Amino acid sequence: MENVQIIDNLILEMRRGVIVLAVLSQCSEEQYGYSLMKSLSEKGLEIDQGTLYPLMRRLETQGLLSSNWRLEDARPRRYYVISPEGRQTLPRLVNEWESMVSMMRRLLENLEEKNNGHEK
Amino acid sequence: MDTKNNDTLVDRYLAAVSELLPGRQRAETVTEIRSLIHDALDDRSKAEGRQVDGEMEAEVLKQFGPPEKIVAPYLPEKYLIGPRLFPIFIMVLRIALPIIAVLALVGYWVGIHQASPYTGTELTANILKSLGNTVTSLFQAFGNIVIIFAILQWTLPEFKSTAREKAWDPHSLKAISQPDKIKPGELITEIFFTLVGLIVFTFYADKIGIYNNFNGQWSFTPVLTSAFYAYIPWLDLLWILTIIMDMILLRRGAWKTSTRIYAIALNLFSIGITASILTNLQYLYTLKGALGELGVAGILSSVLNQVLIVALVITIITSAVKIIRMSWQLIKGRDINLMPLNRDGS
Repeated sequence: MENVQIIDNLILEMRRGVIVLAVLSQCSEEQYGYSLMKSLSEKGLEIDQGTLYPLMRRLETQGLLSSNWRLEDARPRRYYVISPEGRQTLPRLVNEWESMVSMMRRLLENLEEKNNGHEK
Repeated sequence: MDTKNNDTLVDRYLAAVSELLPGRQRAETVTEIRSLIHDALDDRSKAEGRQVDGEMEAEVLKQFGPPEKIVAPYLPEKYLIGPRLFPIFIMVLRIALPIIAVLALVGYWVGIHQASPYTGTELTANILKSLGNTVTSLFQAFGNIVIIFAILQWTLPEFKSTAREKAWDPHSLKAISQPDKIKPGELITEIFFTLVGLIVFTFYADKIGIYNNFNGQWSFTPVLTSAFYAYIPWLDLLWILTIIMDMILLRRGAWKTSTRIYAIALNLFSIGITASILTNLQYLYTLKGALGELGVAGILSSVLNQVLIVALVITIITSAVKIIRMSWQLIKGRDINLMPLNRDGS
């Protein structure tokens, strides 16, 4: 039971690391919070709303997203879009992500080889 | 269900959220959360093909979680005492509280004794009162230390770690303390002086006094009263037990759990005897017989009394600090012993 909780927390931590990149990658066009959450969910990334919305606010404070309020169906909605600074930052994050993926692949291949060796 | 108001569950939820937010970000954050809840309701309404109602609101709000949960990520992390100051806070508590406890206890007992020598019937009441006062002093001290650190937390500028990280030199690291290691030189010195005290007070206590040479004639007046002699068996016991402990330590070459428990008991015994001597100090010696004729007995007696009080209080504090240190090492001992001693982990 405790082990399951630890694993869940580890997975959550790993996912947290990719959320910023995932959000920035989906904000090349204007998105409001709920639409972004649905869009990410459809692509397989489930994010808790309590995590996503404050993150978008933080990215805006950091200058990577910009936002504006719009009235739609008599209801105010806050739309977010990647800012010029965010556009400059995104490719660097993508490069970093790709190098991390390559590195992890090498590390995990090594692990796989060792596991296969033990099985034999 | 409350029928008096027309407010919906969403309205109530947002009102609860609003109460938890600071004023400057309240309006914007509540509007945003309202928008998000309505988006979720619209989506669910379309997916289920039914109108939004109280039941659906409850389901969506359940997904959002309690107001405290949805608000938490919008609020900055606040500490009463943050991680930067916390280790210093703990260090200050560890130093200050034991000293305050000992000072409060000793101060209270000296005060009682100077006011009126206690009688046997008042002893229990005085012990309880002194313990109560000590606990109150400890709480007050703890509260004051917390307030000081909270003020430091709010007023100190943010910690810039980069400059410190660059200036940090690994050679500045402290050597690992070895609390189990004994110092033979200290133990041998202690055995020597304890033995001297034991011999002097056991066999030559009546020789302790004032020696005068007047016109080539020596005269002697003892200063220790018969009340002091009642303490000698207890002092002998304390000193013999101290010598036994030092010899065990010298033989074993290190502190063990059993010797630490022995040392704690011995220091408690020492505090008991010292506190008793402190409270009865004025009855244990006299200078009047020796110096009465010179007319300075009163002044000298007063000075000596103050010096002895300070010395005895220092002895009690030292013993109390030893007890606290020993107890701490007993608690921490297991962790320390689990640490590998050699580089290869052996």
